[in-house]
Amino acid sequence: MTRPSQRSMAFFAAALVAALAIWGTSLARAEKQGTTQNSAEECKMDPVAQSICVYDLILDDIRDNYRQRGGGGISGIVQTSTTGFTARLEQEGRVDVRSYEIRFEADGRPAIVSVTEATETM
Amino acid sequence: MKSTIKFPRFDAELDTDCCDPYNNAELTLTLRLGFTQINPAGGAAAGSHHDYGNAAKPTRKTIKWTDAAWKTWKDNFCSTAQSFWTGKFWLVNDAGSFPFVTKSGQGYIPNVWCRMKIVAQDGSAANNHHSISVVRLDPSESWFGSHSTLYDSKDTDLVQKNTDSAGNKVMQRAHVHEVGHLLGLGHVDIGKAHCPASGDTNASACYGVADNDMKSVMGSGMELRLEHAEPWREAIRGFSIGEVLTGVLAPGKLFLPFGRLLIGANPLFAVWPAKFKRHYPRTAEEVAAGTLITAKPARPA
Repeated sequence: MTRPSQRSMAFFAAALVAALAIWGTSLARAEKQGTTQNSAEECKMDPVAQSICVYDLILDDIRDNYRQRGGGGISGIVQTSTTGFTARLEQEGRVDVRSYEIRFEADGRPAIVSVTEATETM
Repeated sequence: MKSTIKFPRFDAELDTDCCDPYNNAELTLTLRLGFTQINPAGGAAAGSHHDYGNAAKPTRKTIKWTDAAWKTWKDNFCSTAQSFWTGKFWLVNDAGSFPFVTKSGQGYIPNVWCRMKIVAQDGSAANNHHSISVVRLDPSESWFGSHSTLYDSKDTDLVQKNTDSAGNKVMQRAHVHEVGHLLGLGHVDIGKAHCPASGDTNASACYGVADNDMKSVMGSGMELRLEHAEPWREAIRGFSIGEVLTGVLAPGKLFLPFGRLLIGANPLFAVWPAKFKRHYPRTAEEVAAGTLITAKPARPA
């Protein structure tokens, strides 16, 4: 027969395992979404802070979705309009140009509306 | 007999002298590449060069070529690219072309072994098929923006070009991919919805989206595919049809092309299927039966 103190310890251990599992799942989800996502507080602090949030978002997208990891890397990210940005990635014989349309949420954080990719043959 | 056809991209030589009951005809495509050094300005030992030779692009540190380094680089370029492409394909002779008769009186129809040769020449030579300028990167540099006529000294290195769906690196030596282009091959996904032939076939998606495609040498990897035999198939059709025309002009040889109709072969509609495995020469009966011989057969002397 199990004594009350042993039941408490078993319950505590089970709760600890469950907590670790939930924490691990959250961590994995956070990594998938990009851990460099900045907080709303940071992004709406001032224009420079908001720009940093936009560039972080674009860098996160490149890290997660651009698979051609050879070449010369990112040679520039340039703002082309209030909500438009292009990232240039150098490859042998070409430059891949990823164009981003960004919107700003009410809390000041940027979100990607669309990404299109074009190529400049060199 | 050895005969040559000069194509714009390469010279093709067909050798049927080597044919016997066990050995096929050999088709060698020869690329004459004209190499030119690009050295730092003013004879300096070190300098810089813009990616793609475009003044608006980043600069990379370069150093002057030495005679020894230049020779080593060219030799390595030619030997490694040539060994990648040569001797990998056999074309099955479904045209009935180039028949020969042995001393014993047995007739055979050879298949064709596909070979490739790269000849390095000076960039100023008049008969170069292609001209390539080459910068020598400073050892501290790991990458330079090359293009089809401007290479760098590290373009022969095996480097990561892509990442497959499992996160594995897809590696390639740039020069073997470029030699594929020089032979006339396009990127792996040309013609697919994400890489229409009418669009920019240099777009990243054209290098392969599915794992299997990106691993092709005409994608981002190093794998040969049977479709890469197309330059040899194009060349052999030229020789095969040329043989028929020669037969028409010389009536004494007419029996050769007409005789092929008896075994169901016709040079005009021949496919010349490519194979990765050696296929031995066949008798007319074996051709007519569609027999493919990949193990050494017993043949009369």
